[in-house]
Amino acid sequence: MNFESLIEVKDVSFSYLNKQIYKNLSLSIPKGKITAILGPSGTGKTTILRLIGAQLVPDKGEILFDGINVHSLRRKQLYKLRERMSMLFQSGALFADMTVFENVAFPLREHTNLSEDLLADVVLMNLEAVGMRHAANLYPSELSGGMARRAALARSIALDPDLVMYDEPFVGQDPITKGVLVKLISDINKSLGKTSIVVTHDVKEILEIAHYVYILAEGSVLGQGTPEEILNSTDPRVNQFIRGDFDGPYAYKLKGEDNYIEEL
Amino acid sequence: MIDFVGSFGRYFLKKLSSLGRSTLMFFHTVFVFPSVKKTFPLLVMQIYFVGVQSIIIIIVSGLFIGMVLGLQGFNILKDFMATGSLGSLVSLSIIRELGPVVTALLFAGRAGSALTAEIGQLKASEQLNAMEMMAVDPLHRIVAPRFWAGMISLPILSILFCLVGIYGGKLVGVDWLGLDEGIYFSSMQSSVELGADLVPMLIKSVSFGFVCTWIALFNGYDCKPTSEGISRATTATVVQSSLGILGMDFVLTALMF
Amino acid sequence: MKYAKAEVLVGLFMLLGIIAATVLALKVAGLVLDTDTKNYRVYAKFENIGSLRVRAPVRIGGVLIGRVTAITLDKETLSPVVEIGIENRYSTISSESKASIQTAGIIGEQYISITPGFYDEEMGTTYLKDGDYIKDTGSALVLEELISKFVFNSEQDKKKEAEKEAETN
Repeated sequence: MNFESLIEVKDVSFSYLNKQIYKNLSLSIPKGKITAILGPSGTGKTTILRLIGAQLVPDKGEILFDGINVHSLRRKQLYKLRERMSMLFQSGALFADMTVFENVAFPLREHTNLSEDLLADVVLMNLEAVGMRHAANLYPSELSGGMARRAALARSIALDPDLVMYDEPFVGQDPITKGVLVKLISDINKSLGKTSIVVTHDVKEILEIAHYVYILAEGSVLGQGTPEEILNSTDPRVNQFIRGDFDGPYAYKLKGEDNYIEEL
Repeated sequence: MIDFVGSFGRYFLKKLSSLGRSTLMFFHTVFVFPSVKKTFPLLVMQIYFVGVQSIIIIIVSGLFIGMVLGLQGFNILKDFMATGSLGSLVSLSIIRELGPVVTALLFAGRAGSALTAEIGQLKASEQLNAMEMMAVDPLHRIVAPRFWAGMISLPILSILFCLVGIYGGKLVGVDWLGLDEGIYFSSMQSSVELGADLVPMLIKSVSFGFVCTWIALFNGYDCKPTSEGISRATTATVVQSSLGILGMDFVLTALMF
Repeated sequence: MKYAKAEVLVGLFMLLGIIAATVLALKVAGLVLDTDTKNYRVYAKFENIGSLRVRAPVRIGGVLIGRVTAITLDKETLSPVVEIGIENRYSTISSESKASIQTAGIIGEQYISITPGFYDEEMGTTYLKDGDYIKDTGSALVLEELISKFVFNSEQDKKKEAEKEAETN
């Protein structure tokens, strides 16, 4: 891998409620590119984002953000570092008691001392970028799922972070909204040059825009490479996941004692 | 048997670790002095939700408790021809015990459960997580203003409760049953003392404010982010605060009176 | 605006708290800042005031005319001095009136009862005015003293009867 990386995940093991989620996981996320993290449900794809954001602490190993070990930081420094990253949550996680405008203005009010005029300009610019300027005065409860996600996207880029993490951005969206979100993610990366991590299992959409792909399964990296390399992979497990085969190395049946006949 | 001991030990460890987490959370919340300009409006909003909106229930309950005390006290004291002491009976029982305790119990039910549910909801809808990832510490932004609002509001509510209760007693004893107003207030004034009764009442209500608010906030912050988790946490808040208030009341009474 | 309304209400809430605390301290705990000027003050010395309290009522024939405003001890004679505030409209009380401490019920609250005296300018009597002393006073009846007196008297009576019997025999 010959690119400059923003994030290095080194040898991370993590378990939650006695369940081993990662075992010696190593990733590196290239700077200024879109990295897709794919994997079947239940492999803890979201967990890796929360580990990078230091909301969770790994049992073993370290995660470097721009050369800084995020888990060795004191609380204050960690919050300073988090100003450089942002995360788009699955639900959008807009603050329910504020309008869309106030939601986008929130990180700016907390971390900058912009005047009210300038603040309004920045917020409306961000909302315009996601096509939501007309919805500035609506409350989150009045938005559809797709609109909420776009508003949350405007909020997460408001502070001009280096890294944007997308947690399952396409889940439960209609094809048109999916298309809009794909385009937005790609635009934000291209025009603003932000490093992006997209966690998803919508293979088709993400392979269109990703520069690099990791496939996670069973707590470690199953396959990695550019989208072409992944599509042309010969690993049967990778192929099964990409094509969505019904049966293959990952058995359709849950493993267990096979006494189906006897049960009948 | 080993299983039993083991499960008991696990239960104990679980409680211990949640005590530890709540203590850590407390230190992160209280020993931080964020800018006054940003925090003050949040505090005002929270005092509004926690304090102002509890006024009605506090005043109405205070009035009725005072009136009941007046009525019962009068009927009992009448047998001993000692209705003159009604004032001191009503005022002492309200100021020393009923005022701070009943206010705190009502507060736990009215404001504490709301705090738990609100914070649990914020957690379940990932709003706390989102805030954390936006480099805004929810302990400062969400928990701290609510904590201070509770600590400020409960003593004020207790004072209001006491005053309304005493006048409720007067309403029954003096205006209805015909006791002399001067006797009512003079027996009160000769038995209630600033240092021995009013100050301990304030100490009690500040302590209850701490217990109530803290239990509510911790339960909300530490709940399982599901609807069942929130409802469990809300119940736990009311139960734990009520027990905490009554237990603490005994300790404080033993220490101060 | 939602926020401005909350701000005002919170301000009111705090104000209410302060007022309530002040009332509680003054009215209930009795830190009296008496600013009532519609009274005039007279004084009465008693031998014993029993359990008379400040703010106890003062009555003439059962009608409330004022209240006890202070109870002090005379420095020289060491007898209790009661300061009485009488409403200005009751300004024609003779200086020959008698003030006595009485009890409402057996163990009830004690109050001061004033029995009006005669008024005759030629005899040199005047109306009570601010700062006057009521000379004729009757102390509180202390229950224990009454009982001991009664017991003592009845014992004496028995002795007398016994003596009489002895004489007749």
